[in-house]
Parts: sequence; structure tokens; C-alpha cells
Amino acid sequence: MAQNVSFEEVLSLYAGLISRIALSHEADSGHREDLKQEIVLAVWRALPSFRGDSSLKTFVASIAQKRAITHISRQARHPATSQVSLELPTLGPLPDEQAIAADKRRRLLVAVRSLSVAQRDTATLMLEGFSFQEIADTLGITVNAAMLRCQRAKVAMIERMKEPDGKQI
Amino acid sequence: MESKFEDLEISWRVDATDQQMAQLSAMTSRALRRARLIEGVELTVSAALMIFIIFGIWRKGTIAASLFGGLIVFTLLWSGWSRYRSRRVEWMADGASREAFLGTAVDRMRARAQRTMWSLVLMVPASLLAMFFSATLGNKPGLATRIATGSIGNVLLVGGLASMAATLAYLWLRLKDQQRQLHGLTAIFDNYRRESADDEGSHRRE
Repeated sequence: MAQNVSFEEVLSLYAGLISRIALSHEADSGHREDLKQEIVLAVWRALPSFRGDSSLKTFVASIAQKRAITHISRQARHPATSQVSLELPTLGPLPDEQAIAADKRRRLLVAVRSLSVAQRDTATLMLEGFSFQEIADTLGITVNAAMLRCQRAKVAMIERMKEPDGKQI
Repeated sequence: MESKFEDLEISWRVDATDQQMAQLSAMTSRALRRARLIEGVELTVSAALMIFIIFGIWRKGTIAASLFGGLIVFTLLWSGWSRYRSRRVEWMADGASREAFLGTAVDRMRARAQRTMWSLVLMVPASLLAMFFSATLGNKPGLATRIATGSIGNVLLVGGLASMAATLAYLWLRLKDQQRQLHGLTAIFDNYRRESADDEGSHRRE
């Protein structure tokens, strides 16, 4: 089933998803911009082959994560730094609440980046609110395997969050 | 643990600001413009080459020229089509597993590194062989003869050797880069295989 989805539509729907997947894989802001650009180009090139076998969301997430994998293998000579700025978009509450929320986001990001690539991919999809079926479609595994991976990733991430300053691995 | 995780989901999925969206949109426009330009140039060069070949065949009018020209046109079309296809399907977004994707990526990178290795190993002997044939088979004295007899300027000789050294250095750096990428991809591939093995192990325990 051929799908008529415009690239602009895809971008407006999934810009946040793409940005956050790039954020989970690349700590350096300059390299992250390159990665986002590579993901966007990969989606643009792959879009004509989208047949609607899976949802558009899993299609975009799958390409974004695969592009991120090849990016980090290329960037092996520039390892991710342990510095984590407040790169997730900020909300607009009171300063105290904002500081707490920002600290929580910082620790979350450090925890996600400290996971192995396979667990990081699973954790990112869970945090994005993907269902087990969608995670299975994105990773190309069975729903049962997706449930097991989610369980392991969740435990690993919460363990890392407990660590005092979220060591990077 | 569930409620704690829901909190994390909320922290994670904060909407992007207008400024960030505008930056991404501008960056996308630039990247697409460049990609379309490159594809356009590739298409134009291929089309010009084909027109040139067809015109050449028409002028020559022999069967041998037609066959040779046809072969070149076929190669150009096949190369363009496979490039077009690989750009669109290389991400295997059709439900293939990560292991399948990574296995293909590792194989491709290994093949690239091997090609670079062969280029590196064969470059000097191939250049010397070319010089030798140029000197022995040509009607005029070849490069090697001219170097030997001193009829070629030292500057040209140094320039040739420098360009060969630069090419060797470039190939060496490319090989190192490809080996590093291969190492990185293999490590991620192993990581994914371990995850699959853990899935299997958990299934068996259940």
C-alpha cells in the first residue's frame, strides 16, 4: 500500500522525536546538529519507499536510530563528553520548579546516554511513549522480545538515575 | 517503578520550543537544497555522458562501437539506478531487525576497508608497472626512460613522487578511519546480539 505522505508533514509531526533521538546518541552539540541533518536527509530519501506496512512513527524512528548508530560508529574518535547541558527543551514554570525539572532532565539524559546502544534505543522508544508493538516494529523483533528488552532497559535506566552523578560509560 | 517511569516520560517528552523548531526547519531546508543540487548535477552529468556516447556511436556507425557504447550506457544506467535504490532502501525501515541492518553495515564497511587496503598495496607496483610499459611498449621514450636519461625536469619528478606520497597518505588515513568505523559497528552489532541472546535466555527461563 503506497502512502502519500509529504516530507513537510513528516517533519512537522516528528521533529521532536528526531531531535530527542539525536540527543540520546550525541552529546556534542555541533556533532548533534550534523546528526539531525543526516537523519532528516535519510528520512527524505527513504520516504518514497514507505509502504505503510508499519506506522509512520516507527518508520521515522527506525531510520533515525539506524542513522544514529552509523553516526556514532563514525564518531568513535570523538567520544561523547560527560558534560551535559540542559539540552532538552525547557518548560516555563517558576524558577525553583524549573531548576528541579532541569536537574531531573539532566540526570535522565546522562542515564540514557550511559546505557549500551541496544538498551539506549529501547529506552528512548519507551520514553517516547511507543507501545510494545511499535517498539517491536521499530527494532524488528517480536512483541515478547520487546517486552523483555523494555523491562531490562527500564531497570538499567532507573539504576543509573540513582547513581550520584550519572557516570558515562 | 511504573509511576516513576511515567514521570521520566513526561520529563523526556517536553515539546521543542519555537526557536528550536525554526532552527531544525532552516537546517532541513539547507540540507535538502544541497542534496537536490547534488542529485541534479549527477543526473545532468549522466545524461550528458549518454548523449555524448550515443552521438559518438551514430558518427562511427560500426557494430563494435555500438556494442561498446551500449555497454557503457548500460553501466551508467545500472550504476545510477543502484545508487538511487541504495539511498532509498539502505535504512531497511521495512521491519528488518537491527542485527540484519548491522550485519549488512559491517559487511559493507569491511568490503570498503578491503578495497582501500588493496588500493594502498597495489598503488606503487601498479604505478611502476605503468611506467615500465610506457617505457618499453610506447613509440616514444616512456616516463621511466626519460627519468633515467634525465630528460625530464627534476621539478616534475618531485611533483609526481609527492602526489604519489600524498595519495598513499590519504589512502592510509582512509583505511584507518574505515577500520575505526568497522570496529565501532562490530561493537554495536555484538551489543545487539547480546540483547537478542538475553531475550532468548529469558524466554527459556519462562
